[in-house]
Order: sequence, then structure tokens, then C-alpha cells
Amino acid sequence: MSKDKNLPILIVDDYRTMLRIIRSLLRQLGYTNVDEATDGSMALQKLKTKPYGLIISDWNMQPMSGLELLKAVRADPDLKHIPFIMVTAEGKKENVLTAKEAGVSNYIVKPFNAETLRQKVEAVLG
Amino acid sequence: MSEKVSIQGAPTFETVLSTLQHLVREMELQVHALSTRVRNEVLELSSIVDNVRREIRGLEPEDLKRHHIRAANDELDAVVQHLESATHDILNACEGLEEMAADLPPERQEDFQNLLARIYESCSFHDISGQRIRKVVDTLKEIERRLGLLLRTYGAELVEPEDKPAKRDPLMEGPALPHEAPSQEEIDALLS
Repeated sequence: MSKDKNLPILIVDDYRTMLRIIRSLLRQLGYTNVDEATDGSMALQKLKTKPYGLIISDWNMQPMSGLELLKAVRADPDLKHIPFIMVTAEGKKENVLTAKEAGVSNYIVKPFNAETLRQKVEAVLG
Repeated sequence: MSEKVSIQGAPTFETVLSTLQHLVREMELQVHALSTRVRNEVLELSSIVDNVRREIRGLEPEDLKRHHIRAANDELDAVVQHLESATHDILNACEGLEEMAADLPPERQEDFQNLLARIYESCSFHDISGQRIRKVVDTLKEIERRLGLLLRTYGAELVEPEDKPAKRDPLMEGPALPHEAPSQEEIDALLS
């Protein structure tokens, strides 16, 4: 697990309950510097205001999906280094492979448990 | 010589006329029989269309469209709102418990936090259920659209069908059914 528990993390989901759940689980893991966005375009705006160390995003959102956000992040020289975990109900093989091709760091299928989140966060943060 | 034979064996004008008259009568009979058959088939088709119309009217598609489907959509909206409200209540309670956990003896802290984590995990039911309900709403909209088409075809004066809903992105279909969804291990294998 990253030693820097003050690492800024951006979580993106159009369901406010999911934002609260992920925030709470991250808090239990010790991460408290967490910001929220409810779609990809709002996330992109926030990413320009703060040096985030991790993005955790849903896929199925409007108007900008998690996949579009991932592609935009990977195309931006200032953002492309940020680890990106997709947390989504979209669990088909095509989704996973598309996200992998777009540069996703890890992929969690909903419903997930706290241990899975811990493992994936640990894996991408080192 | 052959001309003479031909002239001698040629049918008389009366014979030719009689044969032609016979042919015309035969043709008239054939045409009459055919037109009767066509007419009967058209009548039968018309009767089938009338029956279909009557059956469609019996289904009261306009009522289905205007009331039942709309009511079902409203009910589902209410379910989603209720789920969201209940989930927020549960999360509020969990956050309250988390604050209280600081007062627990250290040996109980971990168990307590684990139980809270399980409640947090379970609360994702709202997201999953919401997405499944959205799929059902989309299906209802498709039924509504097809009813509109049916009404336009068999009862033109009733309703114009609405525009076809936008085709779903195949990569944004929401949660798969449990027996179709890959496990997290399978997902990890695809990524590795």
C-alpha cells in the first residue's frame, strides 16, 4: 500500500451512493484526500486543478463515459502518468479488453468487496 | 396437287366460327372462375385484417401505451428514488457508527471496521439495481414505440409512433446477469 495516505484521489461515478461507498472504503484504507466527480467531463476539469495520484472511475456515465475519460487522460501529457482504475458493472470481455487497450491500470467489476478494492489500489500504487 | 387437297380438307367458315365461339366461352368460364377465386381470397384477406384490427382494439393498445406503460415507468422511477434514499440513510448510519468506533477498545476496532466495510460493499446494490431498472425502462420504451407502430398500421388515426430510441452502446449495457458475468479472477486474467 502506498505510504502516502494523503495522496489525492479522484473518484468518478454518476451514482452518488457509489461515490459515498468508495469514499468510505478508501477512508477505511486510510485515504482521506478524496474528491468526487459525477461524469468524465467534470473529472477532466478537476484533474486540471490538482495533482491527483489516482483516478477511480465508473464506465457507464453521461455525457462523458469512463472510457472517454480514460482516453482523454492517457492523451494528455500532464495526466497520462496517473494510475486509472475502472470500477464498473460492465464486465464483458470486450469491455475489459477495450479498457486495457486504452491504458487502464486495473479493472474492478461491481459489485465488489473492500478487499478487492484494497488489492487493486495497492497494485497500482505500489 | 397438294393445294387441291388442302382446299378440299379446309374447314368451312361455320366450323371456324363455331370453334372460336367455343374457345371464347371456355375463356370466359376460366376468367370467371379465376376472378371468383381472386375475389374470395380478397374477401378472406379482408376478413383476416378485420379480425386482427378487432383483436388489436381488444388489447386496447392506446390504453396500454397511455396508462399502463406510463404507470410502470413511474413506479420504476419511484423504486429507484426509494432505493437511493434508503441507501443514503444506511450510509449516514454507517458514518455515524464509524465515528463511534473510535470509542471502542482497540481489540474490537478491526472487527467493527470489517463489519462496516461489508455494509458499505452491500450498499452498491443501489447502483446495480438502478442500472438493471434502467434496462427494464428501456424495454418498456421499446414496447411503447412498437405499440405506436401497430396503432399507426392498423388504426392510423390514433397515434404517431415516437422516434426510435437511440441504439445502446454495446460497451455500455450495464450489469450482466449473474450467470453471464465473468468473475474478478477472469477479469484479472484478461488484464494480465
